[in-house]
Amino acid sequence: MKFGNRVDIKEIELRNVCLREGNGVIWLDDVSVKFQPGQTAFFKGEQVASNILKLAAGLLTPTLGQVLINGNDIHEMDFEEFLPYRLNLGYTFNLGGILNNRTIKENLMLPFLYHGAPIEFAEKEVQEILDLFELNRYQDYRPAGVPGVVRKLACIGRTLAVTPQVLLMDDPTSSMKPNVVKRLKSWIEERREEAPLTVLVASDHDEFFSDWNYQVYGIENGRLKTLDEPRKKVAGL
Amino acid sequence: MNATLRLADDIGHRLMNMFSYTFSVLSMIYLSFRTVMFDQAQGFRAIFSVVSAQIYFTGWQALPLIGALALATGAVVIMQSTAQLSRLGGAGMLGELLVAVIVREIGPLITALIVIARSGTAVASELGNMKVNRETEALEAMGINPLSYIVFPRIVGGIVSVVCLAFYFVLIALLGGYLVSYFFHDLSFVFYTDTLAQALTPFDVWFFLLKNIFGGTFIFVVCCYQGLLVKESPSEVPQVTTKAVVNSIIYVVGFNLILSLLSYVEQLTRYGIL
Repeated sequence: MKFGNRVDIKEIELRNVCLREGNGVIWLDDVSVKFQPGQTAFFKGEQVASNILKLAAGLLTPTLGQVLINGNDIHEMDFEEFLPYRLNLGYTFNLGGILNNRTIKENLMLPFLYHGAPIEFAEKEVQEILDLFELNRYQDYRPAGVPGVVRKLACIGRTLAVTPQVLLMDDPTSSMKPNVVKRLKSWIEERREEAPLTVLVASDHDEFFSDWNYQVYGIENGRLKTLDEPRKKVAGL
Repeated sequence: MNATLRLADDIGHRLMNMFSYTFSVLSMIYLSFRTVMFDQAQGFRAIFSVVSAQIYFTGWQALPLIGALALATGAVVIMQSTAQLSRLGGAGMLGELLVAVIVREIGPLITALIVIARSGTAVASELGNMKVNRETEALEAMGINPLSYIVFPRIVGGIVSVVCLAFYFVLIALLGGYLVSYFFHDLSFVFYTDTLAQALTPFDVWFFLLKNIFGGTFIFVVCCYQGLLVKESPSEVPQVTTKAVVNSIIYVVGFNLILSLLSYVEQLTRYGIL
């Protein structure tokens, strides 16, 4: 069961996107790329890679160019028009992104409660995530009182709990134990057995996912390049 | 000539900035209310919990401070007024004077200043820190409009709190102030309440509500606006908080002054003086 009025995401496209700052820094220059349902892609290049995910999530507005979902320019939509797409776009933060005045469990419950999902359903979905990442003992703590990795897991868990069709993950594996990464991978694989799940990751550590079929992109002078790197197998995963 | 032009240019520039800022602040009020009206997807349950938290922090927790200030202000104003009016033989005007000074002017002003100092700073710094920690981005990513989840509840909670606190201030100032002054002046309670009841008109009630509703709106919308101006650095938070306090005071005092001037011009016109 999915809550909220959602629109299936059939394609995400960045068309001739430029991203520049007032001080002259060019993050992206004429970038065009498309993602289909079920695709996995890694973007390498720290801040620039994060910006691509933020553009796709509608959290950043390009200086030039368009970000299209199902052929519709998301920056021509207002908040309410974009909402049915947004509920199927799950963005996880590298740093921050967790509400400091709410407990870890309240953070996970928030999207369900705000969008009017039944409380029993929300409790069940959130409990599944708390179990998955072993967050049960931290659930009643506020973010300031828990380790950084717990905050990050809560942020990822909050996104997974609402089962979006597209996962946009900003450096999800940094500072995480291999067994936690393995559980995250298993969760994604299980969901992929049910329906196509697009996974776009900004990270230099694609080796954790080396048994998946994915595309690696690098960014050089603002231009997107396809990288053909050898994939490594990591022992223990 | 050049100096005059520069001065004119400077004044014009400042005025344009002020109008632009006011327009942005007013737009924020409109957008936050519009979002709540038209966004069908949101849960009012979540918004209501933020409104009630705001009323608790701004209204309930400020009661002791407002009460103490009201008591002191009321006592001083009543003692001074009684002494001066008795000397001039105008003791019967005590009620009108207290309504004009406490209900119309001091009550709304001191309440607003206390709320700015206690809650305006808290709201501006909280929202600034939320921006730094990417909490507002996270809300957007979850499909939660920050205008309806952050700004709207603070404005509504702020208005309710300011109106209730001002009413509480006036009540304590008039009744508590009488009790304190009773030890120094032989003022009959029946005479006191009677002169107050005769002086208080529906116009005073509207005037009181208008000042407090708009005062509460200005305080919280300016503080929210300033807090959300933070970009990425924690060092910006104290800067926007200071600016939020200064701008809130300017808007509230300015609005109260304009309203008071209009009401006295109207009174003077009514009495045929103007």
